[in-house]
Amino acid sequence: MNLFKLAWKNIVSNPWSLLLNIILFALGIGLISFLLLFNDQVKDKFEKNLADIDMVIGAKGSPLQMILCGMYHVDNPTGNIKLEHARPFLNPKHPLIKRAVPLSLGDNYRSYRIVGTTYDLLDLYNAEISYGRKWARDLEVTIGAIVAEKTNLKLGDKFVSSHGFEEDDDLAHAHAAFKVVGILKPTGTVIDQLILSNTSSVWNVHDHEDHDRDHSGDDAHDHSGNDHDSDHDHDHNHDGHDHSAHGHDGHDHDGHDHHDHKHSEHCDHDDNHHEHNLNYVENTAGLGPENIFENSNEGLLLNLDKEITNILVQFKSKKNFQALSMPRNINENTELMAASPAYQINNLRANIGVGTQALRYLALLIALVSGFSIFISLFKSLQERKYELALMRVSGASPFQLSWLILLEGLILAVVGFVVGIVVGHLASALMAGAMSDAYQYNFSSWKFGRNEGLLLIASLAIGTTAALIPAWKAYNTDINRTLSGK
Amino acid sequence: MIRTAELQFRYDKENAFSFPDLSCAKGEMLLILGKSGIGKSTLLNLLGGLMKPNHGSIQINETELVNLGTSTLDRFRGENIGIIFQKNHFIESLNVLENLLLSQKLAGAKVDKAFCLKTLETLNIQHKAKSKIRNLSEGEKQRVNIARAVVHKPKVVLADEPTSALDDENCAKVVELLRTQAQEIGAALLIVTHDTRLKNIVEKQIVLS
Repeated sequence: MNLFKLAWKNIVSNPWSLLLNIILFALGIGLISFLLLFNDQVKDKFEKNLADIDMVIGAKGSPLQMILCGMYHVDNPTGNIKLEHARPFLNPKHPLIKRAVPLSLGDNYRSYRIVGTTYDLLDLYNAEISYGRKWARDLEVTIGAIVAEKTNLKLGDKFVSSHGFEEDDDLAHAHAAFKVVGILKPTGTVIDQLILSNTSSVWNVHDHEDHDRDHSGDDAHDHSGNDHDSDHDHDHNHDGHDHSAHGHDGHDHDGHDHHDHKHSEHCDHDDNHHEHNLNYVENTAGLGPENIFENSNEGLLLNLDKEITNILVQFKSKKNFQALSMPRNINENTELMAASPAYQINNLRANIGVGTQALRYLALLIALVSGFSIFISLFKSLQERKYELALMRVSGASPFQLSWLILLEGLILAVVGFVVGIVVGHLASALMAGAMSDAYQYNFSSWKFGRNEGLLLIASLAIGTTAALIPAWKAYNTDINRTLSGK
Repeated sequence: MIRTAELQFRYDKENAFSFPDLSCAKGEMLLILGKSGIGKSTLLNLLGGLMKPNHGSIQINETELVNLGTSTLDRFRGENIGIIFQKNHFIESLNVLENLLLSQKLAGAKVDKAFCLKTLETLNIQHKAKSKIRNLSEGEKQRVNIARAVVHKPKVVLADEPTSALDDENCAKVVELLRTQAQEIGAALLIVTHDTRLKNIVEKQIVLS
């Protein structure tokens, strides 16, 4: 029988008081732990995905929406921009721009966004190929590590995309199937949850729709808003196209070079469009110079009548005044919108910060109340156990041993409350991670323990010690004679 | 084993006590009788080192209690003195056996579970070893009280009104138990009481007046 065991027995002998103290303490610690985890993870995601991007260009609208869409892929695009307007910024010889990465959005596969882009995007996020190779031709995709893990897509698998950002069978582009030709290594950035293809694949999938609409009597088709839905009717006639290379009745595609265009099992016909540059062939050969050109900004600029969604821009110098004033100039003098990710994200975090700060104060208040509850509990227990303490003194316990016993009780309550609180905080975080994963495909690590937990443990011990100080002092000064004589 | 000389204690000008010199050797039993308010409990507290006398000497096992500092006295008391209080106070969160083991531990004695169980057996309450204190009868509590005072094998056992709430039959039994236990560990036993029934049971007596 030692003092620790005695302290533990004293605590558990009063289960209701123990329960109240633990619940209060765990609530405070759990809430703080959850907020710290949430803040850390959000900060980590925001910072990792900044990827040294200095400016994002897109269609006019909400700058924050554009950033959240183009960099974090958690929102819808503000619209599309014509390549003709974007041409100056995609020019590899731009004096201020080190790298400009075009993004064309519009489709998803099982809520994972398909992004038409160039190989520069891989460099932006330091992404490397784990299996297979980079996309090269139309309808070839290289998928992020999380996409591969969650969708079980493997090299050679084919899939049909769905329009927009939410999976919807009614919006499936059944006429065109993507084929997985590569899987990226995990990077811990947003690219892990993207499906990457060349830009013309995205155009082709939607141009095909435009044709459908044009030929089925639909009027204006607004692709820029990315909000259209359509059932695809593949039994149609494409004027101006020559489909001689395959036996599709009702197709007449003049003046185009044709190759076999293989669709997935979801597609019930083959379709070849020269205008759409569907030069996809079934092989896994390495990338030739023509593929590299097609997946570069120079290749992209051959299609000035087409549209893209965003451009991610890195400046050559982050201190250059002209570069720094470029977003303002774009916003004032062009049809485009430009925004600084760092500025927008800082604003967003400041706004979120007000809420989390309020919650943090609430958590601190709960922690303080729990500390006070421990104090009351120990103080009350001390009154009830004054004979016991006097008896211990008679039996040979020193005043220091009595005060240590009370301090131990405060510390045990704090440690148990801390452990329960940490478990509660991480469980809440796991629930939130599940919700975030479902909603945005972002993966959060709920069971990561680190420095914050260490600091919380120290804070808990401090609260437990402080709460026990006065009762411990009273125990130290126990007057044996007066107590036992009942005076 | 225990010897006092010219012992005096004063609460204030009106409440001052002078006690007769007393001595009790190893294995002996001394009865200290007196009416209420005569200073019996004060004497017991002085002998137990719970209060310091204003004058006089208390020697236990050749050690002068009056000269000991607080922490030394705490340790000395734990090792050498066992006190049976009139009221049965225990550590309520512990069971009977754990109370005895804690008493040994605090006294700095060897934690001897077998001896604790043997003592409980002698007192005929070994079956209550794992019982919570609140589940004991008053008689059982008194026996545990006695066991706790002796399990660390002190040199002196002091008992404060151990029979005041008992009938004649149980009164004689408790005194016999005390005597047996004290002799078992070779301790001097001092019983402070106003219970005159003990006059006929204990041979060596001092009456406070």
